[in-house]
Amino acid sequence: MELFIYGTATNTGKGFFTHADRQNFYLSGHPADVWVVGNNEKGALWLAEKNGVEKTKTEAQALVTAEVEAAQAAWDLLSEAEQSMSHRPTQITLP
Amino acid sequence: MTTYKEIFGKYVRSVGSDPSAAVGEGEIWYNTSSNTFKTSIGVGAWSSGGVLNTARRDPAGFGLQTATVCAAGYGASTYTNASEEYNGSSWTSVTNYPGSYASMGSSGTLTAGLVWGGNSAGGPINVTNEYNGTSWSPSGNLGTAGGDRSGCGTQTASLCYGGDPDGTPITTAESYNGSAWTSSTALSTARRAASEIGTQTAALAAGGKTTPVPTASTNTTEEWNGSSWTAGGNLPAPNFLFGSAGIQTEGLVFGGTPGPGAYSTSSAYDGTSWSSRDSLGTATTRQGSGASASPASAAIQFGNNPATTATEEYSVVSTVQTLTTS
Repeated sequence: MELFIYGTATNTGKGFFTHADRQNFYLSGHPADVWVVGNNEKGALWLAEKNGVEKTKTEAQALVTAEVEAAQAAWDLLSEAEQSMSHRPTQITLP
Repeated sequence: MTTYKEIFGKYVRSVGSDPSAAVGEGEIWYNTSSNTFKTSIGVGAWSSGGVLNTARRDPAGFGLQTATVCAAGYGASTYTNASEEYNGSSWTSVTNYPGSYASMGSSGTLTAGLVWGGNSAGGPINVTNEYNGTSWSPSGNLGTAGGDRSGCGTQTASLCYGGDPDGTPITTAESYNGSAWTSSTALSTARRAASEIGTQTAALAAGGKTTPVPTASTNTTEEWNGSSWTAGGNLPAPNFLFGSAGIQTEGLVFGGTPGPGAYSTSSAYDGTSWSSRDSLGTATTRQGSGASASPASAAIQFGNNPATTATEEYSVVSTVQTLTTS
């Protein structure tokens, strides 16, 4: 069995993920509204309740990569002075 | 064999059903239905909070988890002066900050807040503004302009330390008395974007960026007792541009970066050493955070790099646990 479920869901704010959720399953958020959720009953139920759209790991990684590349392109357009105040976004590898 | 009664002076009580987690915290009892020993302990975890109206990174943040201010910062593509107040569930737009800046230092509460320094499109700034819950008013300028000049305290008694006026982190510290900044004892190590934990007389400067080299962050810490800085326990890893909350003997840092990338980890300080806590839902850096002089058991963070609207709240909740021999 796979360790994680991958999906997209919009963070609607308070209550989107709760203290209890964090105790019940692994959860990590990433660019492009991608969420990686522990593959158990409660994790799967959470993604479904949030109107999440399940993705394969490859699909989820592609979404994250595209978002980071867009952020990198935006950073590249900044002036040298502005670039000196922040780092160029780095690619993220999903677990 | 020593018995529980000999240690604590009373027997373990037997119950048919568990008491509420809050009532039972710190107790041990025997559940006759499940035939297990149980206890209740406080478990800290991050959960989602209300969504900011304006996406940003590097805002100023001050106040408590249920009464927080997020001021200015860097938006999607430019500096913003948009400010918002949080009531524990949602953010509301309030009076704009007097300038479009990012990477300011901050302290105080929602009705008595203080914001200083920062970066702007024109370079580093030295202005200070006070917030009364409704409007901003200018106060005495910092002696040294700069972004990421960390600090803590209250509107009438704050401390500012480190920072980055020109690309090189500094040791400079300044003390605020409610109207003016005066020079204070310098840090031992130059650092930018260190933790904002404690009070004017009991602060904790943890981590930070130490040189212009992009990845040169430190895991060292310094404790301030009102007159001198001394070495504290090292962070688990070099880190800067993180969120922080709490007091010198009960601090919490979360997220941040060693250079490129972002952490999701959280670590708590007990006045001597650091230990791991629940990770953020999303790895973040350059976030705003509140509760800089309050117990770290109710922290809050908002924003991220690149600019986002997300908020997360850290809470310690009593939870019933079954005792095992392992």
